Amino acid sequence: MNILKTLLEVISYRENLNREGFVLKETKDDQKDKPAEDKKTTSPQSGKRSFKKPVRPAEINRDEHLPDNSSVSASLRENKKIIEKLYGLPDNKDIIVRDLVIGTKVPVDCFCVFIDGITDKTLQDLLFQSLMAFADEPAPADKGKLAGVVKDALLPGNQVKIVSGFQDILDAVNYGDTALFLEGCAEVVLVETKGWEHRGIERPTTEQIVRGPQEGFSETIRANTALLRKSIKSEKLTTEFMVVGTRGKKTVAIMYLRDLANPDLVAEVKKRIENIKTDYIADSGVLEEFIEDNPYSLNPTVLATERPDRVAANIIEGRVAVLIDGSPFALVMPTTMYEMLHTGEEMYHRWQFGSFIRWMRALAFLLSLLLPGFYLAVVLFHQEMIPTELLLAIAGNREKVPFPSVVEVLLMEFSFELIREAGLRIPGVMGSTIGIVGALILGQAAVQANIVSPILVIIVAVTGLSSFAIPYYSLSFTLRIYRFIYIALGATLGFFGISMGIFAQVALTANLKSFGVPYLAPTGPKTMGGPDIVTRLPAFFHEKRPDYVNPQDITRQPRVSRGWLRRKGGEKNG
Amino acid sequence: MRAVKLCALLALAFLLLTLPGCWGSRETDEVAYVLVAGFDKGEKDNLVVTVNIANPRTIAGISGGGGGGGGGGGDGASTMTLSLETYAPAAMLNLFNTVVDRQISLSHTRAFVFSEELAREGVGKWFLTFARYREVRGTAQVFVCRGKARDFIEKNNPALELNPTKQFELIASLSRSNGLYPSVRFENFYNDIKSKVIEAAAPLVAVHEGGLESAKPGVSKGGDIAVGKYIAGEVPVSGGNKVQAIGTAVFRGDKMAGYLNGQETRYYLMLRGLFERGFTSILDPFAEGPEQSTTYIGFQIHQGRGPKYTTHIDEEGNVSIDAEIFLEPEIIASTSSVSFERPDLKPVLEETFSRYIEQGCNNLVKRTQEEFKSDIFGFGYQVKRNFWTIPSWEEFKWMDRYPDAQVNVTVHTRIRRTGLLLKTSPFMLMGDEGQ
Repeated sequence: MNILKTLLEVISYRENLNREGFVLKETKDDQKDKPAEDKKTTSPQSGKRSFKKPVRPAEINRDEHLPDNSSVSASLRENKKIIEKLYGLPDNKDIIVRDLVIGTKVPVDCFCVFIDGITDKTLQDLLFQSLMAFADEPAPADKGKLAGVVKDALLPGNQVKIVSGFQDILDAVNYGDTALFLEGCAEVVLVETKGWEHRGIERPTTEQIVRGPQEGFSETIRANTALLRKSIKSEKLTTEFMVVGTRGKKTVAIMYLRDLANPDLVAEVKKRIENIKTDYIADSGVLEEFIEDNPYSLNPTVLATERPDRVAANIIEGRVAVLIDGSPFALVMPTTMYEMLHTGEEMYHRWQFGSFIRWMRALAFLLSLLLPGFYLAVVLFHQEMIPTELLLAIAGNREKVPFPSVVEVLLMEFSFELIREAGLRIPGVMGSTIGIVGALILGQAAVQANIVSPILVIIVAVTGLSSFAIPYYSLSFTLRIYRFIYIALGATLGFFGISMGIFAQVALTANLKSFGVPYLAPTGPKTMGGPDIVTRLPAFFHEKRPDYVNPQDITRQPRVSRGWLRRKGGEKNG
Repeated sequence: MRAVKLCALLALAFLLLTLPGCWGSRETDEVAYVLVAGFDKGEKDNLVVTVNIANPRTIAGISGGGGGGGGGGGDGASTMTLSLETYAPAAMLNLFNTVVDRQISLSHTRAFVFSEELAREGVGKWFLTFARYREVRGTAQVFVCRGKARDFIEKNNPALELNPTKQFELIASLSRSNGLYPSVRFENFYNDIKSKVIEAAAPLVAVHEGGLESAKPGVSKGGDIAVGKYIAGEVPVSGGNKVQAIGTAVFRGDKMAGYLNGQETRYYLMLRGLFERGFTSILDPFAEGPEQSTTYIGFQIHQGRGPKYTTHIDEEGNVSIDAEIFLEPEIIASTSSVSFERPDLKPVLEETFSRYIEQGCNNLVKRTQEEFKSDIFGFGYQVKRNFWTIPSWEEFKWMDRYPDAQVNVTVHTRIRRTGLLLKTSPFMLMGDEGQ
């Protein structure tokens, strides 16, 4: 009987009273809209957009969590209380407050604040040792000067600062420093103890080269600036730091050669970065979007690279590099489309090889953009322009395909894009499957099932290869999207459409600017050509820096840069 | 608001693509490509048009199920031949559609074949149609066929090629390496039949049913030594394709006036400067007695540079033309025991060769003057230089005066190479005369 009841219970319907479970209820101001509030007041150019967010009353009287940079008090207990409040102790478990006594003749009470995990333990051990064990200086009578004494006489750390504002302390501690609060002193000693787990300097993974430096940037900004310093050993190389983001603060480094980069350019870069009002910038890609000239264009106008040697070469031409903490990609500006087709490697090869690969790449650029559209235009409208044999081969292979050519092309392009995306996202363990599946779908199977014609497989494969030959990933993406426009134009209007499309695209692209420099320079507006646009001339011909960058000094080397070619005055030289 | 604008923009782009897009696109499987078109005189109506339509499926090698494996044809013929009697070439395009389910396209027609009968009647009016029609290629080849063009297209079966396009393309380019027939493009032929300085000529093709019976007697049997003593349809070939190309159809205006055989075609090409290469033989100038007609010297001729013309018109309007031809033969065969490689004997051979070619050229010029009354050599271009204005040249009526013009052909020969042998060492059994 009991069993029957249980069975009935299992199969009979009962209402679930707790249907919803946990519900995330809306808060008063659900949206993080501090930036929106700022936009309303600070950016007049946003008036063009008619869309405005209404401001909620709750947002206007938001209280800041701390009065701006309030000072440290002399009382250790009070300071501790404030720190506990600021960091939300004791809930916040990775903030460590360490009480200690400085072993001077008159012991001084003090405590240290640091964050576990982003500090260097050996450095800290040294710090504590010197404070607790080896401090044999007499403590000064005036306790207010204690911080100065500790800094000058007791601490061996390489960067020790004395500050008195809480905001400064928080910023430093959040970045891995250790703050030392002293009893009776209204100042705090900040000791540099940064040190966290990070990826080492590895080979660049997205921009591989055969010859040339094999180091790539990593996620630590100091390491990245150091890499650039290592390449450009000059006292003129300037690194300016800025902080962007209100909630998650990110350090941004701006690097340029003080006596070379155009001061207006540097000022413009700084102005744009300074005026970013946002809560958090995750990566250089986001920063790029905030500062680039034409965010609505498909073409990227800022060069992102993970190779220090390339950035260094650009800085030496008078450009500005922007690095952001946590991103292994440096942004270089201004840049042109031609430079996006460079890898820097051409300079490391002999100039003939460099020129050859550049021309190959130019061809790849065109193929990647136009080939499928071109194919459709030929097959649908201009059949007379290809040799009869080829036409009959194409026609014969298409006989069994049930789709129109456009559908066929779109199908293949779409599956290719799928493979590309899937190949990128697939978990590494299963990596090898994508190659097999991709090759099967695109190649043999699709043809055997009469879904596509074999010629089309070749077309799509060549297009795909060409787009991989574009060295800059963003530009390659641009071409991938434009390609579909040309497919539409080729399929509806033939070559007429393609030529119209090219005309429009050239006009649109020529209109772009990258930090005041025309995007298609030096051909967009025709200016002085250079030795390094498409053909890479021998290094000793590179006498001038790029004209369009307008550096303070345009001369890179004298007209005779190989001094040994000159005959010595008196000597007879065959 | 922005969304509305974006939608409007997209809609506009879509309309721009769809409305003016002329939708003239044709998938390759909606079109029937005519590869060869032939024209005969009709019995009841003007023309019998024969077309050779490609079957792309067979050509691409996908016949049965499965995928695009290796080439090499499948079952089913690679082309389809249809004939139709109608009044004009353009009309055929629609009438053929009564049986062919695809749109007929002339955009890949490689060869236009006219029957001799039609050519003798005049082809000008048909060419006017083709020259106006957008699909016809100016680079197509023009042929004149002895017999019916319909037979020619039906019996044409190029064993080595997948389709006749390549066949005619190769035939056209082979003209340069044998010189037995000219290679004439549609556009050139059309211009030449209109021209007042040159008359048109077209390669001659025909069907040969096979067999060696049509052979002509060789030089030892009292015949001609020339390689190209045949015209199309006579070359004694057994096996292979039944279609052959040799000789030239000479036109006067748009009407055919007669044939040249292969050898005469070579002289014609030499005089026009179009001769590239070709084998020929002459009799040994030193041979005596019974050997005279059995010892040959074989050459591969190469035209060293274009011919040089000197023209003169006297007060009475008599035209004299001196044409100089520069040939560079290479000895490639010799059944003679004489070592012509020797510096003292080479000039003798050169002289003999020059006289031989000269004679042929002069005979040909005479024939065109007397028999065809047609300046297929384009001497008109040279004579025209003596006139200051076009009207005075047209008034001169070169075409009527050509038969009376005094034409002298001189041949200059330089034997550049003697083949791979530097010295002729006769076989011992030929006698003991030594070298």
